[in-house]
Amino acid sequence: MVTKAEAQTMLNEGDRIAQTVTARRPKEHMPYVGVGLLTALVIPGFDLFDRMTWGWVTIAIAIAGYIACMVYFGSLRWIAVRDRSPEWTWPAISVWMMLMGVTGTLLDGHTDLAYTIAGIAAAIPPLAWGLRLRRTS
Amino acid sequence: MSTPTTSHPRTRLNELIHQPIRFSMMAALSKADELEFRFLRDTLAVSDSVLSRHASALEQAGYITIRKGHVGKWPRTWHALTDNGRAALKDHVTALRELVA
Repeated sequence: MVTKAEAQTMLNEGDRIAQTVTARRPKEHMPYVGVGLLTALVIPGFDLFDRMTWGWVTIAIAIAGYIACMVYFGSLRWIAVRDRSPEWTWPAISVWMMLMGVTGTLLDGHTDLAYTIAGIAAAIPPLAWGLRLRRTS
Repeated sequence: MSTPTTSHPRTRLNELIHQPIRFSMMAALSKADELEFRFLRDTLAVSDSVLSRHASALEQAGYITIRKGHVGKWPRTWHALTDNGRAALKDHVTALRELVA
C-alpha cells in the first residue's frame, strides 16, 4: 500500500536527482557562445591596435579558450550526453569565419571599421547556434 | 454501484522501479544518454555493491544497459536507460502523480 505522502516523497526525490544530473551535465551551447563572444570582442581589436601585437593576443586568447573547453568537458566526462549539433556545424562555422577574415582584409582601407564589421558578422553563426541550443536544452 | 473504468494508479505502480534506489537510478539516467558507475554511486549516495545489485536487476528487466569500456587505461562502466526503461519510468511516474493528485 503506497500512501500519498510516500508517493510525493518518491516524486520529490526523483525530481531532485534528475535536477542534479541536469545541472552537472555538459552544456553543449557553451563553446558556441564562448567562441561567438570572443570573436565579436577580439576581432574588432584589429581596427584599434597594432595588428602584429593584436594577432599574438588573439592567438593567446584562442589557445586559452581551447584549453578552457577541454578542462570544462573533461571535468564532466562522467555524464554522457549526445551532441545535438550536426557534425558539420564546426567546419561550417570555421569556413564562415575564414570568409569573414577575407572580407575584413578586403574592406580594410575602405573603412576604419573593416575588422569590426567582419568580427561581428563572423560571430553571428556560433552565437545564434549556441543560443538556440541553450533555449532548447 | 458503478464499475471503475480505469484501474487505480496504485495497481499500475511498477514494483521493480518502486524500490527507492532503482527509482532514483532511473530518474538520473533519464537525464543523460549514459552515466558512469562512480557518478551514479556518488549521486545516489550508495555503496558499489548496492549500486551493482540494483543495476543488475534493472538490466535483467531490460530497463537499462550496462556497458564496460575504458577511458585511457582505466576501466569504466556506463549505464543507459533503454526505450523500455524510459517507458516504464514514465508510466510509474504517471501513476505516482495520479496517486498524489
